[in-house]
Amino acid sequence: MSRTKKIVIFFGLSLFILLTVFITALMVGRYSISIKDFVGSISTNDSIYDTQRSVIINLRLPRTIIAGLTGIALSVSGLLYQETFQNKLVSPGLLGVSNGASVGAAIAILLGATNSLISFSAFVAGIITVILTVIIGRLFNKSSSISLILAGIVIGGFMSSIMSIIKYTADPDTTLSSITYWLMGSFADSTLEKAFVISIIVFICIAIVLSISWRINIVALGYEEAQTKGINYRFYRYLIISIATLLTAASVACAGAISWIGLIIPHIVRLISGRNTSRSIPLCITFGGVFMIVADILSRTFTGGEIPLSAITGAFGSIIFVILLVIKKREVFSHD
Amino acid sequence: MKKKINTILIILFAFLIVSCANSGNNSSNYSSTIIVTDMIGEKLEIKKNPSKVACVSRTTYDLLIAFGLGDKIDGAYKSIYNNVWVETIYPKSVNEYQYNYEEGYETFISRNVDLVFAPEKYIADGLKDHGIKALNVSLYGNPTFDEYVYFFADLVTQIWDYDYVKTKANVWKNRVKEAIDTVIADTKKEVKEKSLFYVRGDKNKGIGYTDQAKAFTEYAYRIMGFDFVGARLDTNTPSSEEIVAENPDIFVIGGIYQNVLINTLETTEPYTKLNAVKNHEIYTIPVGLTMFEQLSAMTPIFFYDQANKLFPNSCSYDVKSMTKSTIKEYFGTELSDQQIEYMFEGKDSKGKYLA
Repeated sequence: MSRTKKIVIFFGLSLFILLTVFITALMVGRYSISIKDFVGSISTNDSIYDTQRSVIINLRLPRTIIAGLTGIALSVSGLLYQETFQNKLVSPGLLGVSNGASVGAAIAILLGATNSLISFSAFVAGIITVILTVIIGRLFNKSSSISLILAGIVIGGFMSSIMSIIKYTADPDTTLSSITYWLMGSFADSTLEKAFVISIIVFICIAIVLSISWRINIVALGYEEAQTKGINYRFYRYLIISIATLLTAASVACAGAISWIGLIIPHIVRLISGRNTSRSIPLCITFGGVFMIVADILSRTFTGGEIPLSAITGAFGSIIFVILLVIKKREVFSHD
Repeated sequence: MKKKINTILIILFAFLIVSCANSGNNSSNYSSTIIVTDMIGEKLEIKKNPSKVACVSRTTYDLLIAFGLGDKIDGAYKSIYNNVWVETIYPKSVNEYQYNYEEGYETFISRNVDLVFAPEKYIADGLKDHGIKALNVSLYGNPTFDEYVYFFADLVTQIWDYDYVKTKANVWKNRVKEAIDTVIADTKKEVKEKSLFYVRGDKNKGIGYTDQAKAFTEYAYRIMGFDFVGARLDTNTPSSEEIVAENPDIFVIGGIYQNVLINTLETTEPYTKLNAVKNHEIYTIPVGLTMFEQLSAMTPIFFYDQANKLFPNSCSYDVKSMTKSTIKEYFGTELSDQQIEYMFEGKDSKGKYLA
């Protein structure tokens, strides 16, 4: 079977799974809704389904949309970072965007802001942090990827220490617990308004990424190779980094810091599609969406409270990563 | 020579007498300590009648003042002072030190604190490991609060051997017992078994923040005949869906965020679909020096107030005048009728919402 045909089959299958998981997510949860009630709730205006309809529309629909979009955003941004920095162990938090967004959210929580303002503050702080990282990286070396990664580590560490100070000053009875819970990631505060905003950001970013996917492949080959192909390497590198940052910041703003997904989904996808981003991006979209919606279902269905998302993505992510390393052991450990 | 030996013997004898006398003094010092047992059953030898205590456990602050021991309090957990009613009801509080939840050990030592009431075992253990006397007095019992309602009052009378403390503590205990007996007797004809969801509004954590089986609230509402929803939940932070699935008959909301939370219940779907919201069965709990639903000087009034709200056909206790006289008696402050009204509306002493 040709690789293209294989990818088309995988994409079709994963798209079908994504739709199935999406509908399942609307049907399952702590509030039990039978299939008959589910169908009645969404297909009629009958008042006997008022509560079920309200649970589906006001609680499950916004969080499932946001979960899917967050999964897509983090997976694609992970892939973009990994390709741009030619490093397969890179995750979306590389340039400090997650740490910065977390600081923004924590400050907003400390000031008693509303949920929307917390998300906005996280988004803006995430972007500002990456701009800082880029400026500091350019002070070291304008074209080196390593200098940018080093700047990301420095700024990320700096943001972590600011976070520690914020946590120290936060009231343990009120704001500290909110900050801690936010940092562990959750879709509990999802609304349709938030879903609308993140969907615009994700759709625009994905459209741009798909339209320049062949240029991403060239940027992934490095500066010299890109120059020989007539590509403006710096422009496209910063464009890709900007898009990946926007996607990550939007995700963190909506759901808090969620680990692992941006690292493992690109790895799984590359096993199927290889390094060609025009093939791997569509698979990242479906795989990432499925992974995050399933994580959200698990987080809210089996206990009366909500299990933090990072606990679920961390547990599954680390297991999947070990499996991936075993599958790719020849490639990974070939130098030993 | 014989004279010298006699002199030495006399000196030795005198030394022996002095030694015995000192030994007697030592035993007298020993008797000024007492061995007490804290809420988790750990025994500790402490100085009797300590003159400087730190109330890091917030359930201890209000009752110590009520039992006449306000002058022994060096300070309390800082979040207690965030409640604006504290300064109004007990003006001396402004001179007290505000402790962090996990205060540095050197702070207690430098402030010469004799005893710390710690809210959790690990905090008490840490203090004891560093030579600071600490007793664990938690907001929660184990497995329920039934055996702990009078625990702190009894502990205080063991530690402070003063008649006025014993008298005040006994009066408080009798009032709590009387309130419980009266409410149970007056409401026995009413249909009970309604499910009640208590929302902890002391933190801004939304509707999904409650108490479980170990809390005083569970004890209080259970003995009033309610099915306390939090007792059967596997977490004190249930999700919105969990609350909708429980569909409680009654919501009771306490804490400084109570008015915000009522608004959330009445305006946010799917809460608006719940029985309690549709039937307007949402009630509040006043906030005074502490929240009334926390074991405190106001505990008897908590029972009367909740009975008035939850059993309006059977109960109409004059809780506002009770509150006024209790605050005057325990804290020495005369509140106006308007201020008492504000207190029952979840507002501060000037009529502004607490949050």
